[in-house]
Order: sequence, then structure tokens, then C-alpha cells
Amino acid sequence: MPFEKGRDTKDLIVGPLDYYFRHLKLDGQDPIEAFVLSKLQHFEQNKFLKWTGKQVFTKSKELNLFPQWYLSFLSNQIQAEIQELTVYQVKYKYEKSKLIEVDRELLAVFED
Amino acid sequence: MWCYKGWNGNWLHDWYAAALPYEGMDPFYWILIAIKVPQTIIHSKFLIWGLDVIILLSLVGTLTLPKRKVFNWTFTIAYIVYSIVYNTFSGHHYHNIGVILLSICFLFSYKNPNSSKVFHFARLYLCFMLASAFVWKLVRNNLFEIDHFSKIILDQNIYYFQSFPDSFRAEILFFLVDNVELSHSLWIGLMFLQASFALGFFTKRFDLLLMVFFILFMAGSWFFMNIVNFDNYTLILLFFPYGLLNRRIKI
Repeated sequence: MPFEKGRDTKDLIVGPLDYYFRHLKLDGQDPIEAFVLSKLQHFEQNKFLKWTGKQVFTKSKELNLFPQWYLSFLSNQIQAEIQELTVYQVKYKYEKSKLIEVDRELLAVFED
Repeated sequence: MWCYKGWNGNWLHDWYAAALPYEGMDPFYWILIAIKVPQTIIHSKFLIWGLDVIILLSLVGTLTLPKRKVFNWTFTIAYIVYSIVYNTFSGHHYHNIGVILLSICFLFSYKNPNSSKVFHFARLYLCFMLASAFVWKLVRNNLFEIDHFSKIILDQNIYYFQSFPDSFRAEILFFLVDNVELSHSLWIGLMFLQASFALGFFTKRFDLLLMVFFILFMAGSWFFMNIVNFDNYTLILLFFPYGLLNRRIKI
């Protein structure tokens, strides 16, 4: 689907989806949580930080709600009904003034 | 601009019930998400529609009754809330501070002797924003990597290339990717534009030139890197050099 609107809309459509799949790559863990824990070993020992983390980092409930929300959001954005959305991660290489697809991995199928 | 955002699906009601808050590495967002401010707003149709309408009405108010500062205050507060919620659910914390910075400048009556200081501060902040971005690239040695800009062009325009691979703009960009020396020269040119804003710290004599540089830099960022900081375009007003503005607000 070509993005015919402005850059804002492209980011809007891709941004939340990208963030969602960053969670899935970490088996549902919030990528910021993974980063913080890798950098600050004392994070879990500090009661306040631990409590803050619990409030802030993504919960499984939020993650489960995402596909349904995203379908309705995308549907509103492109003004079309969507019954199924298939998401691929596509890798390209650049050669002779062209993008050539080298790999396509199925990431998820969202169904209404 | 607010209408453009509405057409582009960027009003808050377009985000109703967004599921995944993005906290980033920003303590301010951590606090707000921990006390569930953005989540409460985004899950309430009343609040998000209310905020969209308040922004629109306060804009109309500032245009029709410019002396009534209540509209400016309302707009500024509402737009800050809008930006926070937008950033929380878009999966990225955008640096679109132009509208907020500029709207703060108009919070005070021009009769207030301190009002011009706010403009001074905003102008200096804009100079700092651009000049420090240049220093960052300089320190990281990006400036001297010959294929750096060529890679940026490919990376930043990937969606565009996917959607419109045969367009005239794509042809130009592909040409630049292939000719790394040419793209590197452009990169140096863009960085020169950024660096020139350091002049703004010392004098206002070159504000007209800086205004032209600002337009060129923004146009270049859009054309070559697909970076559209739509909110930040409004900051061009801070470099308006001519007398009318000077007399009114004593810049």
C-alpha cells in the first residue's frame, strides 16, 4: 500500500507496529525494560525503581490488546475496512539503483 | 497546521484506546505513564475529543481576539498535553517542539517589558538546537565519513522507495546514493547550514540570512532525508528580521 499522505502518517502507521514487534522479539518483554536491566543491575534491588518499573513497563494485557486496536486504527487511517492484516519483515539490498528484496519473514497475522 | 494534522489523521481522537504506551528513556514520561495520565486521556472519548476541540477553538480565539491571552494559555497547555499523549502512543518521542516554543512566546502581552525576553530565549534555544546538532555530528566524526549521507538517504527513504520506486525524486535520490562524493558534498553543505546558526548567539545582524538557511535546511532535510518536522517550521518566525516585528515586540 503506497503511503500517499505525509510523513506524519507514515510514522504514525509504522511507529506503534514497530514498537509492538520489538516486544515480540523479546518474548513480550518491554524493550526499554530489557535495556534498563542490562545497564542498571541495581534496578531490581531498589524498591522504588522496581515499583516504578511495574507501573511503566508494558504489561501482557496491553500487548494482547494491541492487534485489535491496530486494526481499527489502521482502518480509520486508510478509510477502508480491514478484515485481516498480514505483517512481513522484508529485507532489501541496494543494487544498480534499485531495491532488491532478499528476504521476507512472516511476523504476524491480525484478524478482525 | 492543526487542520493539516487533522487531515493527516494526527488529532488525538484518531488514537482512541491506543494500547501500547512508549516510555522511552525519559523520566518525565515514566512518571506520567506510572500515574496513568496519557492512558486515562487516550481511553476517554470525552477527553480526546475535548482536547482536539479546545486546541481548535483556542486557535480561532487567538486569531480573532489576539489581546485575550486566555486563548494563548489554553492553546499552549492543551498542545503540550497533546504532544505528550501523541509521543506516548506513536512509538517514538518526536522532537517537534516548534509550536510549543513559539506559543510560549505569545503568552505575554507585548506591553509587558519582559515579553521580549521570551522571544530572545526562544531564538537562542533554536540556535542552540541547530548548532549543537552540528557539534554532535562533528564529535561523532559523521562529517568525514564519505558514504555516510548515501547510507542515510537509503535508510530514511526506504518507505518512499518501496512505494514510489519510479518517481523522479527516487531517481535523484538513487543517483545521490550511487555518487557518494556528490552526496557527501551535500552532507557537508547541510552541516554548514546547521553550523552557521552559531552566529545567532553573537549577533542578530544575520537573521535574514539565518532565516534563508533555516528554509534551505528544512527543505533539504525533507527532500534528501524525508525528515518533516512540521511543527518546527513555525520557528522560522524567530528569525524574522524586519522592523515591524522589532518595533512591536522590541526584539
